[in-house]
Amino acid sequence: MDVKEIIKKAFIFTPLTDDEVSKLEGIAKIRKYNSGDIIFEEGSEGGCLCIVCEGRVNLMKKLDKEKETCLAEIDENGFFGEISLFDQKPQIVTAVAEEETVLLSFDYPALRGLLVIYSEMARKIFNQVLKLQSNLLRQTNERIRKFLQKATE
Amino acid sequence: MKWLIDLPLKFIILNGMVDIRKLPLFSELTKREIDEVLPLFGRKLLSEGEALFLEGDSGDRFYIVEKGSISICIEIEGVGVEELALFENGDFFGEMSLIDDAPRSASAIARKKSTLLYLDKKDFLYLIERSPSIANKILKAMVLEFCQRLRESNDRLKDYYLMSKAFTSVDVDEC
Repeated sequence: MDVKEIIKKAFIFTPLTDDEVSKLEGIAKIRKYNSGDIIFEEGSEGGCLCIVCEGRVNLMKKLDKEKETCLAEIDENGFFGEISLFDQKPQIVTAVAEEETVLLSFDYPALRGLLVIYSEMARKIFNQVLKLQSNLLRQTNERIRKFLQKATE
Repeated sequence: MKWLIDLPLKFIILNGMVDIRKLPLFSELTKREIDEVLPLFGRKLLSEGEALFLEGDSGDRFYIVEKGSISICIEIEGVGVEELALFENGDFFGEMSLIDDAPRSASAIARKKSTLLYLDKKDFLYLIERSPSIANKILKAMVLEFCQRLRESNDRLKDYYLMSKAFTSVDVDEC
């Protein structure tokens, strides 16, 4: 598996130089999951930033005791776990492997360390994350819009 | 015209405006760095009910509410206008226009007479060139604020689900 190529394809890391990608490669770990395995759970502390190399991961949000909804399906080259990376608060979703899945994962402490040391790399990553987050926010708003529309039909 | 904020701090507070030096957005900046950033900002006044921008407009300005109250809302066909957020003293919005060219995703309307500080994209890009470490600290603060907003917006989805469960049969998964 070409770890560098995987890193370069993930949206959050696309603007990075080869040199910066090598630094990430140094802290990356390959992890394998079976279908149904939980990668991290909503409300839990810690976790990791993960890129999906093979398979699929669903991000689930509990609505009440019986009901949960899928907020996002993360396919190959997609990534997740970035919110708790930055704000260091508990995870807002449960990440579940939907099939046999291989992830490239970056433990938070190591990745935060890199962002502190290499500020140019940090800036590029912040930019990408802001773009992504703004899209996510738009999507959630769009869902609320649709939901309100249906609820009043 | 760029003019700001050589007014003494006391004056600013006495007028009920936020002390922008103490905003979370600038919390990691040193006093000197803040002095470098502030002249890049301009100031805009809005009267009650005035629209700052509308959903779909192009945007290249980031805003901080210095004083007042700005409603961020979307129009939902058949339902009406739904307020997504209310920004008051010290809050910021429109940050995406600093880094991408997407149109405004919602409208911004002044709920009452308001004063806003703004930063144009070209000035932010200039700041990145000239003082990358300052730009970095501001970007990081924005990311953190966004993390918080995503948390809130996810909870909001949950609230809507719980609220509507009692009244309707709409399945949240269909949305």
